[in-house]
Amino acid sequence: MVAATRSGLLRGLALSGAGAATIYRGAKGHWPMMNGQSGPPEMSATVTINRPVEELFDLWRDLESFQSLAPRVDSVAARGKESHWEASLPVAGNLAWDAEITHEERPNRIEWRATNGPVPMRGSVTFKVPPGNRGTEVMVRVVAEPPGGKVGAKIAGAVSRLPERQMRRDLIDFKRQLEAGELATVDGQPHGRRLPTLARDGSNA
Amino acid sequence: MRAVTWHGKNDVRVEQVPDPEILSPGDVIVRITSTAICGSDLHLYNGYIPSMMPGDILGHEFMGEVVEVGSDVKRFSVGDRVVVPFTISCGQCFYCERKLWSLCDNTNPKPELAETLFGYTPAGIYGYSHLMGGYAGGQAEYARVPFADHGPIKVPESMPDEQLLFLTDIFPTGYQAAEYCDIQEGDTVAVFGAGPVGQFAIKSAFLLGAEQVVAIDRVPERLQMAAESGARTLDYTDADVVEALKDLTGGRGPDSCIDAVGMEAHGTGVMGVVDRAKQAVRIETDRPHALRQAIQACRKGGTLSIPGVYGGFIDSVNMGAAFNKGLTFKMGQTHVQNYLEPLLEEIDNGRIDPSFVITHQLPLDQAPEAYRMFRDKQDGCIKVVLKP
Repeated sequence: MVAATRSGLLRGLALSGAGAATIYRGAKGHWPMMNGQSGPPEMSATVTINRPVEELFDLWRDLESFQSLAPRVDSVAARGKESHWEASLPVAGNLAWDAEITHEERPNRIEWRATNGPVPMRGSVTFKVPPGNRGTEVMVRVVAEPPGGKVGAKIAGAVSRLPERQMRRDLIDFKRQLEAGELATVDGQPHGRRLPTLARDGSNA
Repeated sequence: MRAVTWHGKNDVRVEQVPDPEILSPGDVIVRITSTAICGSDLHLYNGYIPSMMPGDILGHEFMGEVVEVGSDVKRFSVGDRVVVPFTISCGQCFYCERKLWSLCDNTNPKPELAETLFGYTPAGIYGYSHLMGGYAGGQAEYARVPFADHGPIKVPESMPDEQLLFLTDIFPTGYQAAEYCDIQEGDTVAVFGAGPVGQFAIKSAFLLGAEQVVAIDRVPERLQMAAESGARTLDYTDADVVEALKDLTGGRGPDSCIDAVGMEAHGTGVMGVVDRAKQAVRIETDRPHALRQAIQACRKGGTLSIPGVYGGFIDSVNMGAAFNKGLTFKMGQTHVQNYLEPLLEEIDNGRIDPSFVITHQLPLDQAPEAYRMFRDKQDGCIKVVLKP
């Protein structure tokens, strides 16, 4: 019902399911199906998480423990400000990339840059405490720095169109794991006979 | 197990489906001893709630015995007898911390649908469409209860299911509706719709100190039941409701009005016909006749409390009347968790016996007949309890 086409497309692409870590920490992306779309190569998402700002900052900064919140990331090896990431993603297959934290101000901001991939990116996460005991606002911003020319334009288009919704969803899942301790799910629960034409999830035909 | 499943408008079936399993460490599995059909299930049955899928298991009013416990569950163990609130809540978010349980941020697995329709997602609800999370419901032999530490309560073995079952929804829903009226000494409360929620709103308004409660419906058995609770009754098919309420309140109008009807009101007159036509062709998703009347009837500065479910869009609401009379609107899905313990105590000390509302008890296998009977208000049907 809601942007089914678009989300179907999203799920087929490399970033989907990568969890917060991949793009927010500066993954090398891989967008095999996009072509010819243009737009600013930037995306952002914000959620408010009902946890103290220091806790969120420290969790984000502790790259290796952060991995547990990004289920498709296979491994993170961190040393100081530098890290190496490996992930196996649907469609895109196995990916690896390096990231470097370029600036940090505990507990308010982390900036990073991803290198050694086809799509160089930089990103930042900002933690802000709103007045009145409302938790912590977490804003993530990712900017692709694609090469020029035709290839660059394709990548730019892909970055701007594709993952912002997915990125927001990943951020919501991050919030949910921290607040509720689990992700609400209905996958695997029983149901009656689905009509073949309506079994959009493919679970029963 | 056997479960009641939705297959389209006016089509519910009893099917054999797999037993539910623990899917998250916070889950428990409940073997259901009693479950009920809610008036709001009729909105699904009549096809007015979007995002249902054929095969969805219905039901959000159920209780039973815990038979399996997830590894993170602290408050329950196998063998506990529990009542399960229809709202699924995480207990940790901004909303849960403020006891706004039905607005929980974290329990709708598919928030995007609700965000598109409502701006933000409310809590997940059992058996109430994929808009509300797509959770399998409790009109079945077993149900999975997620976030178990933040929902169900244990209930004593000494009290029968019939007294406890309605803690899941309609008793708290009627009670919250009455509480929203902020009832003061001498108040008159008008309750539009004397279905099960209306019946509990009437009882609750008296518990909270209302001087006079007026029940408005057209079904004789419902009006009779309301009268037995001490309410004055009005049959809207042979009275001008607004005038009649004026007459019953010395010309002032009721201090508060409760719309316990919601999106499928049976309007009379021109607007009733217009609403039906619009809803039939989906120009309007909800028929707000009771709401309009309640707005019109309410005294200046009064409160309109809305437990009746709305799902989408309504037309021609007399906002001018609401504005110029300075009405307060209070509404929403019930924050059931707030009422479980206090209302259990009210039952225990004998101030109310919720089983008064039950007119039919049937085996789960007869759910299709039960839905039809409840929809058509046949055989004096007010509330059906199903036994798996």
